[in-house]
Order: sequence, then C-alpha cells, then structure tokens
Amino acid sequence: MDMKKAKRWADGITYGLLALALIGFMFPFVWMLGTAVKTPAEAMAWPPKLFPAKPQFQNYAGIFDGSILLRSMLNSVIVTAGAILVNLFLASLAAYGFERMQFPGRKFWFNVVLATMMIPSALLIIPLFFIVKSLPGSAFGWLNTYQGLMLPYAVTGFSIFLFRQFLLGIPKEMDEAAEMDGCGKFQTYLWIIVPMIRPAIGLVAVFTFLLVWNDYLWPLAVSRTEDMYTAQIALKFFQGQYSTNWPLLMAGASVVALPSLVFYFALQRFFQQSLSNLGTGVK
Amino acid sequence: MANRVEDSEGQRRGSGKAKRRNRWQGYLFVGPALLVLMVTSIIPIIYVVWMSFHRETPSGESSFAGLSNFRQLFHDTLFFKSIGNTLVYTFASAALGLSAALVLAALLSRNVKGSKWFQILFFVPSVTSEVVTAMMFLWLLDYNFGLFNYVAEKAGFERVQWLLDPELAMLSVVLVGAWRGASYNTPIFLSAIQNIPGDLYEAASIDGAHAVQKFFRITVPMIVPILSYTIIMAFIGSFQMVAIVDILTNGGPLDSTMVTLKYIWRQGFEFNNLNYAATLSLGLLPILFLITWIQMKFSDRRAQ
Repeated sequence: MDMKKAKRWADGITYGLLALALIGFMFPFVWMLGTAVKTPAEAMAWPPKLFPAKPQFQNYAGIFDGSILLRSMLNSVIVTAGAILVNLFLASLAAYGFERMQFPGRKFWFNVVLATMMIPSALLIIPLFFIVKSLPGSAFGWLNTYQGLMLPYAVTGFSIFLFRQFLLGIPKEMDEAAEMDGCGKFQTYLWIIVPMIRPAIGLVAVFTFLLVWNDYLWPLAVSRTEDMYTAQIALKFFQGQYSTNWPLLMAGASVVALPSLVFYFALQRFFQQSLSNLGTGVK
Repeated sequence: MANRVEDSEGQRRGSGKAKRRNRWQGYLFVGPALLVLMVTSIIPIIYVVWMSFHRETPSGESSFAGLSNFRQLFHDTLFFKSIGNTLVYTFASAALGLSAALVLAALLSRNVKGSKWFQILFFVPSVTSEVVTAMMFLWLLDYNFGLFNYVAEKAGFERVQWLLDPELAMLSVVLVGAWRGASYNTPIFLSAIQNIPGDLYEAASIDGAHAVQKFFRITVPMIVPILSYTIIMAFIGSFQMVAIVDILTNGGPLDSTMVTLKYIWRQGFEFNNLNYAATLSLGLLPILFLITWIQMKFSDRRAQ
C-alpha cells in the first residue's frame, strides 16, 4: 500500500516537471504563432494576449506579397533536395566500395573519411569560400549558384560512416549470391544493397535535410543577390525590413520553420532510431 | 575477416588484365565521394594554412607574408576576448542545458503514460533553425513589448534591456543556447539511461535507496561516457554557433557577445581581411583539439 502511494507521488512529480518542461520548450512557438495572426497594435498591447480576438490570417499573404520569401523558400527546396539526393547516392556508393571491395589504399582512404568528420566545418568556411569562388563556371566561380550552395553538403564523412556501419550488419552471402547470378558490382549495389539499406537512407536523408535547410553561415557567404537567398537568409533580412512589425516577422519565421517541423513529425521513426544510435554508438 | 584476406590474396595471385583492373575497381565506387571530400574538407585544411602565410595586396594578388598574420593574431585582444566569450557561453549554456537534459531524461525513463509524446515534443527546438529560434527569442526579449519584460514587471521588477546591457546580453544568449542544448541532449541521455542494466536499480532498491540517491549513485556515474561525449559536442558546437548572436545582439553591446566565429566572419567578410580571417580559423584549431584531448583524458580516467 505504501509503495503504491509512493509511486503515485513520484508519478505526480514526474508529470508536473515534464509539463513544466513542455511549456518551456513549446511556449516560444505558441507565442510566435499567436503573434503571427495579430495586428501590429495587438502585438504591442499591454498586457499582451496569447491569441488575438480575430486572427489576421492575411498576415501570411502579406509576408509573401512582393517579398523574396517565396523565391527563397524555393531556393531552399532546390538546394536541400539536391544535396540530399547527391549525398545519398555518393555516400552509399562509397560505403559499399569501402565495405565490400578490396583495393589498394582502401584503409588509408577510409581513415581520411573518418578524419573529415573531426574537422569543425565552420572553420573551413573562409578557405572553402575561396575554392568555390575559383571553380570554373563564371568570373565568380560557383558563388551565387545552386551548385555552390550545395557543395559542402554533397557528401559528408558522417553519412559514409553511417552507411558503412549499416552494411556491416548485412550478410555478405546476399551480394555473393547476386554476383554468382552474373550481377556486376554496380548492379549488386543497385539491386541488392540499396533496397536493404533503406533505414540508413531515411536516416541520412533526415540529417541532410536538417543540416541544409537550417544552415545559415554558408548560404550567407555564397549567395550574393537576393534571388539566390535561402529561406534562413531571407528571414534574417526580414529583420531589417520589418524591424518592429512583429506580426509579419513572426509569420515569416513560422513559414520558414514549417518544413523542418513537417519533416520531423513525418519521419519520427527515423529520429527515434538515430538518436538511440547516437546514445549507444559512442560508448 | 579471414575470408577477406583470402579474397585479396586470390586477387593478387591472379595475373590477367581483367584481374588487375578489378583491383582498382573499388575507386569507381569511392572515388566520386572522395573527390567531393577533397574539395570540401582536405583542400580547405591545406589552403587555410597557405592563406595564413599570405596577404592580399591592394592589386588583388597574394603575396607571401611570413608570420605577420600570426603576429597580428597574438596582439589581437578582441580575438582573445571572443574566445573568452565563447568559453563563457559554452560553460554556462552547457551546464544549464546538460543538467536540464539529464533530469528530463531521468524523468522520461520512468516511462509514465504519455512520455513518448513528451519525448517527441521536447525535441522540436532541435529541429528548428538557429535563425528561427533567435527570431522567437528576439520577440520574447524585446524591451518594449516582449513577454519577458511583461512578466518581470508583473513580478515587481523593473523592465530590463535584455539585449542591450552587456551582462544581460550574454545571459540571454546563454539562455537560448541552453534551451536548444536541453532539447537536443535529452534523447541522447535517455537512451543511455535505458541501456543501464535494470538489476543495478533493483539491488539499490533492496538496499533501501530512494529515487534521488539512485539518480546520483547509479544513473550519473553510469552515463559518464555519454556525458563526456555531449560536453565535447557542446564545446565544438559553441565554436560554430553564430546565427543566434548575429540576430539577437550582432556581437554587441561592447563586444560582450562577440563569439569567435562571429569575429572571424567580421574580419573575413565585413572587413574583407580574408587571409587574416583564415589565420584566426587556424588559430582556433589547437584550442578545439586541446579541448577534445582534455575531455578524452578525463573520460578515460573516469572510466577506469
């Protein structure tokens, strides 16, 4: 009886603290959404209200009207989708090569891949900027181009590593059987390996999406004209444009946040899996 | 493993042209990825060193500059101040964020009904970009109409300049960092806690330990390896944090929130001293390696 009572108390305290944390994590979002549908006067009302009497949904139309937001969202979609596709293909192909094939220098190059995971990417922005500027294409190289925006995410050591870890768990007999049937290496990769590493594909897609969609410094460095801004950069420039029009700023912020949230909730499964891998994999 | 050795020996013994081509076939698979990594990681690392020893002349050409960039670095008080600021930010936000994450993970590991939903929603700040996060807090921290000042006034305090007072500005940035850190690290700690063998807790229960004792005597020591991993990541993450500062304070007031990456950016892209900015990046590398090394030593000792 006593034990039961103690458990009820413990559960009560647990719920209380979790609810408090939930408010702490969620409130800024709720406040953003509430402000986004207020009139400027309502946003500055004192005392403030969470939601306005009459939601001004036209704020969302207003934020797109004649602004760079729509174009920048489209840019972000192009860059993010491109980076995901290239990363998935090149990284899984490389992981297959490293894990299933023998060639001179295999160990060395795999260590190089691992080493690139240790380099803090932000410190490479300055030299990478110069390299991108001097790539063939135009007088400014790949600056202000989609391929320039995509390049740093086109392959990451992390995604190669992740695919390779996943391949370790797939029995070699599968590819050997395929090769016995006359499949070449590439066909084996395409028809046997790729279908079997689908969970890893989901994981890498999720990570790449968040990395590219949310990134700030690289697109800030590479995009030179407004029409090449990504969504994050456009939002930053809204700050100057609408300085104290909080409803429009919050409407813009919520629009830019939306794709990551949709992606997150739609791909829950992969997130749970990846985070538990993260927790156990590095012991 | 044994199989693989045999394979490669079998290939070595083969002497036909096809066999020899086979030996290098792997490069068709790893080559494209390696090429990209060369351009995005390896060459920049070499190039950053090269840039540090050069200077751009007014005519736009690079000339060898010896150690002059480094000499400038050692006399650059703002660079060292920015490192100090970054360290203050890291320590404060990691201490707050990681301890909150640890407590939340322990609570979630009790698996009360609905804890899955808490878990899913707690992670939302981590999938939100730094720019959006900063925008939300910019509004909450606004001097005139922000909710923080409203609550402060309600509680009987005077409203404060969260982002324009040098000390409060750092505190505000730290709070935002801790908010994100707590969210990001909770599931990592949670899965670490769930991997602790249950009999440890049962044995402790038999010995009459209560929940708080179990947390400090079993949970905390058992997740030290993960804890040290998250601390390293927090450090490395802090040195890459820039968007939050850019939007909330732009490094000010009086450079009180000037973090290192922000300063490197300013030198490189606002003052157009790209070679000097490269030198600063290079100057930061030993610090990051040192932090990682200390952390590894520390976790080794704790593990023994």
